[in-house]
Amino acid sequence: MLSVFIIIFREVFEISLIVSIVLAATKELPGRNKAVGIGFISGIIISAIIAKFADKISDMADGAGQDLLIALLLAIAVVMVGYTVIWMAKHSKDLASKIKKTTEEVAMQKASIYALSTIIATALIRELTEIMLFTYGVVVSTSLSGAAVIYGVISGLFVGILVGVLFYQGLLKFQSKYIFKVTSFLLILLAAGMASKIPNFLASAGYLTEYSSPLWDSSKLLSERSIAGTILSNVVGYTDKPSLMQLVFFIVTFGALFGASRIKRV
Amino acid sequence: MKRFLLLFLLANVAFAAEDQVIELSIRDHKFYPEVITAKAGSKIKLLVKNEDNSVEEFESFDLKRERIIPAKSSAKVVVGPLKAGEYKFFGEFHEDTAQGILKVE
Repeated sequence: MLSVFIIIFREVFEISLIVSIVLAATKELPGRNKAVGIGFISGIIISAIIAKFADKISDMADGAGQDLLIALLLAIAVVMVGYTVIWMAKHSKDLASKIKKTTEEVAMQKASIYALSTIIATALIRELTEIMLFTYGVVVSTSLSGAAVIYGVISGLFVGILVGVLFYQGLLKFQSKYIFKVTSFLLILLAAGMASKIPNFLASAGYLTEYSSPLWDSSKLLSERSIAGTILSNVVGYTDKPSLMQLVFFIVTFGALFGASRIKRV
Repeated sequence: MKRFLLLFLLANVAFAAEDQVIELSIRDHKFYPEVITAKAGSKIKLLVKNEDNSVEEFESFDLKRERIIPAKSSAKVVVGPLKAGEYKFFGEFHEDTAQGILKVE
């Protein structure tokens, strides 16, 4: 039962970190709760569908279908976070004001809501499919009683979500204490971190395997397996053995989003 | 004779650049074999066959790979080119028993 709890908690914890950051960063965005709700529901439904068709997806592209799917989910999330960051930068004044919005602005707001939903949904899909497949596997093959499995899953979910809530509240406190807004910056780091994971999944499928050897090994300083390492890994894509390709993906994404959010235009 | 030597040399170059293929099985939540070896410098195709009735996730922090392998299925995971060393991998859903090492020379 403990092993069930640990695995479920780990996966839920990873989702919680990402969701907390997105929620904290978009607190001022109108319609953000609705967006998150849509994201959660669609994420859960799509995860269930993918879990059901795991065999077929794994068989696709000579066994690499799964890797390509995850790489695609990450890429979509990066684009959606980028869109949200740029939208927030463009409308920072509007968000503060109470002036009635034009129809164009309302449409743009709707688009930003869907972008948020997509970020949440892709994060959920990446981890939930694992959780569902794992839980099904445990139920099918183990000597654990159904009750023990259910208890493990529920407690893993509960503690994972609880940690996420605490992280979220911590982020809000941190933001209100400091004058400069960390919101967009956090999102940009999140997007760059997610982008830096894409090369691993492409390489696993046999694509883009160049420049994949680690440039350094900082696992003695901070191991990716440690709690702090896991947090940093999910928040900014920290890896203790980064490859040149990963660094390139990170820097390009960071530069593009940081630059785009700084452009002062109409 | 000279032509034969040239062909022989070219053949060696071709083999050196070719991908290595290593087969690995998961049975009763354990890897068989637990230790696999490969050469440094060229890509490695790991063919992981899950012979169990339950899903497993092949994962490695050292190799930076994670792949869910449904019951009674196989997965092809590409790693490398790698430098010499030992790279640990495990089955995330049964970490206490599913542990393995890839030794690269």
